[in-house]
Amino acid sequence: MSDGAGRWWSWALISWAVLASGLEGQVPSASNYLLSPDERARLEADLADVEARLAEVQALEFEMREAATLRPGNVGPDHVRRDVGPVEIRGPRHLLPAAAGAATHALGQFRGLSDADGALTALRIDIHDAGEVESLAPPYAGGSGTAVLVATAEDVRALVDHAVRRHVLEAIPQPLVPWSGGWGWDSAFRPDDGVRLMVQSTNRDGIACLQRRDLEACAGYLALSYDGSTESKLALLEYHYPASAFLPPTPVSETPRTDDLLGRCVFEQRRRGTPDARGTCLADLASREYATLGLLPSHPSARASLVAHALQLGGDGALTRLMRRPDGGSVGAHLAVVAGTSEAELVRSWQEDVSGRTGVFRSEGGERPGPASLFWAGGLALLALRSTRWRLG
Amino acid sequence: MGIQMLKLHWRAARWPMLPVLVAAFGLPLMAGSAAWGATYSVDHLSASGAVAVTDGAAVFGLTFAIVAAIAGSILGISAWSWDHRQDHVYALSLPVPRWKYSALKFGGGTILVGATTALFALGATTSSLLANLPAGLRAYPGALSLHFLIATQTAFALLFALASGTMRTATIVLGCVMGLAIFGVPLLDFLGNFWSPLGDFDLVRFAYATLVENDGPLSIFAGNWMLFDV
Amino acid sequence: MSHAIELDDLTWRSGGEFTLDRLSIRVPQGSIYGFLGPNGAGKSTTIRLLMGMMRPHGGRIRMLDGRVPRDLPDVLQRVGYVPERPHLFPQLTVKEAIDYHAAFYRSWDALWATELVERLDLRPDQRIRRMSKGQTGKLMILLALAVRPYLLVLDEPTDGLDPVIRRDIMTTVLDYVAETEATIFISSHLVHELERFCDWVGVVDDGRLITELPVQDFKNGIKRLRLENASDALLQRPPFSLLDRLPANGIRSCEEWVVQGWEQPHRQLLEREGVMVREVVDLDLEEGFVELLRSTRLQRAREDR
Repeated sequence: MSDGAGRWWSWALISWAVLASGLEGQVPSASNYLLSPDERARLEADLADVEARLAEVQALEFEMREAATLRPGNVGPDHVRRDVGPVEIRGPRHLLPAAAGAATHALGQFRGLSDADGALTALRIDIHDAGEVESLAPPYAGGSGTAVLVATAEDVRALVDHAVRRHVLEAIPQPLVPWSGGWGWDSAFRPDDGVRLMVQSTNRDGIACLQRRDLEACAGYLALSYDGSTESKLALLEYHYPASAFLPPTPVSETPRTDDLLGRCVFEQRRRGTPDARGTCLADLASREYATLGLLPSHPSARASLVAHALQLGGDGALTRLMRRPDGGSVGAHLAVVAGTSEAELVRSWQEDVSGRTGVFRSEGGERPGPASLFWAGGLALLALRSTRWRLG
Repeated sequence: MGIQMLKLHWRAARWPMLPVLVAAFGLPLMAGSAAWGATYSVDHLSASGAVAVTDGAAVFGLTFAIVAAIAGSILGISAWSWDHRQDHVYALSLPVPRWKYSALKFGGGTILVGATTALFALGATTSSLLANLPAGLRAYPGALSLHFLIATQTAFALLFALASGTMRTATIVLGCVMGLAIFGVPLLDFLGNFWSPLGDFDLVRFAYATLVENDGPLSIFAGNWMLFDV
Repeated sequence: MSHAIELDDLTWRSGGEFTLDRLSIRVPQGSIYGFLGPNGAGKSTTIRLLMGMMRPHGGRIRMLDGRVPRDLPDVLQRVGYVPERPHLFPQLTVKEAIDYHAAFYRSWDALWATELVERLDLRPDQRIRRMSKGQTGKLMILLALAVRPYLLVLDEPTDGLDPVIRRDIMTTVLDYVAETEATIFISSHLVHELERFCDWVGVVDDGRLITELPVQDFKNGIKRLRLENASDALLQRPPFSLLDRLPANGIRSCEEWVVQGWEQPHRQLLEREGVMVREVVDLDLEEGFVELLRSTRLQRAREDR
């Protein structure tokens, strides 16, 4: 048992002893249900004393944990440093190659990430060999821009991979994360996975849209285009902003998200005391052009798929643009910048992509082997024809 | 001449290839079995059927790549195995230029690769026709069969080239590969004590990146092998 | 074309000590050329170089008016070859082996091949790995002959076979040669067999050609002499080559000399020197071959010292 743990147990035992001794004889028996003032005063004094001692024990325990817990800056004498893009890794020499490899691989999974313009803030990872550390430290502890890992050679890859991915995903600006369903959509960085998520979604309208090609359901789920009439606009707006979302109580002080056009409008109208704030706002939005409605899909999996599509369209640097969200802009406008196109064009392109992929048996399509594969097969064939057994001996 | 050599190649390869051919036909069928006769209710909130189909396709996708590699390897090695046994004396005494002899052998092997792929395509197409897919998914028997063809042909060409040389050459090549695989990492770790860039060099990652990623020679075995996908 | 095979200064070195040292051979067209030598002399090596299976380190090879290896595929179309060890695929049947071999030769005579199957008493459906050594040897000859070759290159084709099968094989070969005037280049260490049908002989030992001449000249040229009063003075400028000299002892009453290049007038020459020639014995090909080899090796040993 380590010093720290030993001291903790000692104090726990002492505390228990103190408590036990302090309380012994002080617990009122059934026959002493009613305490006299003197008895009460004594009991309260003892309890206060116990509380103070408990507080002391807890403070000491915290100190001991803090002393034992590894923190950034607590660098071992044989630690070396290795930088992988924005990630600074420090740790024992024998763990660095695996850690650096994992960091490189994790960063590589986010297509379009270009660190040259510094969109990703620095992340420092301190690795300590689990075999050399005796502490109560968890295997992973992180805060913004730091990660402290206690790892063996086998699990250093997994922990570094997790730390780097988390750092990248934490860089995704608010409110994009809750808008598109939370951290789980890191797989949506791959467009196929995004569409696959949609197909497997549990959304009733999604199932109706993708399985029965129910266009009415699709209108909301995929934000399909409308016929231009005010009625169809209102129908879509109703779908995207169902009345139940604005049922009271909505604290007046709560500021709606900047991409929530209807919410902001309602908030403003209510502030002014307009009687039918929602109806007024709907009518106002319906009078605008389609492009300004910002009709993005409502279901998280569909939204995640839209983000993946925007990243795919945007190509190199798209993820960097995703992380640099302009202040005050809507989600739709941000995604349009990511994709390098207009919001309407982004949504139209995404709708076409999803619709085109669903429900048709085609003989072509799917991921085909690229020209490099044919080159290698042909090159190896030429090599194979040069048999080295031209002669015996 | 070519037909006789093809017959000979098949004789040399037929027994090891038999289970591979069964797998080439049967695995696509198994990949799609989750979708045979499936029904999807739009009233039911869960689209677990689609999940089962794509999960099954992803699992079996790995086996397709393995079968392609094994099929190509068996055909490549068996192309020269009978010649090796009698030291190539017969082949060298025949009135045919050596390059032509190799080319005929390679052509025969390519035909056998095509036949294996045809069987695979038959299984994939049958599976696709039997499957009842949710509207969000589609079947790719054509693209998958093309992928299988190129992968098998790549493995065949690689092993054909290796097997055509002397036993000494093959031993040297394979010995180097095995030696790197077993001793490379510890050796680099040891040498890293004297020169740190060596210790930092990730051999496994480098080998993987060179061979499989970045359009390397084995990159065909990676990629999307799913029979059913979005 | 006057020579079916021409080797000029053929040189080959193995990684060890064995060397083919500037071998020059001429095989007359239409002849049956016996290529003799003890085990390890370089016979099979020479044949492999001839067939283009190995690359020489020096020298020139011509076969049927073509350069080897430049014209090799065309030349081999007219050559029937039987190697020292059977090179057939054991998993095949006789018929399958014949069909496979036939596919490579433009001049393949299928009818003749069928006749040979019957004549050599082979079963078409029999698997090669289940055949005896003799049957395999016969199949090898069949494959070589059915090509209708201009040149047969046979590397110890009857080695290890029983006399009956040896006779069957050689009879078939000689019948073919008599019919077509093809050339045979046959190597063997069974000298007594080759004596019956070879008309040329080349003797090789330790990678070097010892002699090359018609068989009759070879046999006629080597004699064993039993002499009395033989003296060393005779050896100062002998009219013949002395291959071996055995002094008189308890068993031999006379001195015995083995000589090459003996002619009838040499008897008078010896008698003028006071040497009595008791007997002149003709040696057969095998005895002559052995004496020649022994003498050559002795001489080489003296030169090395």
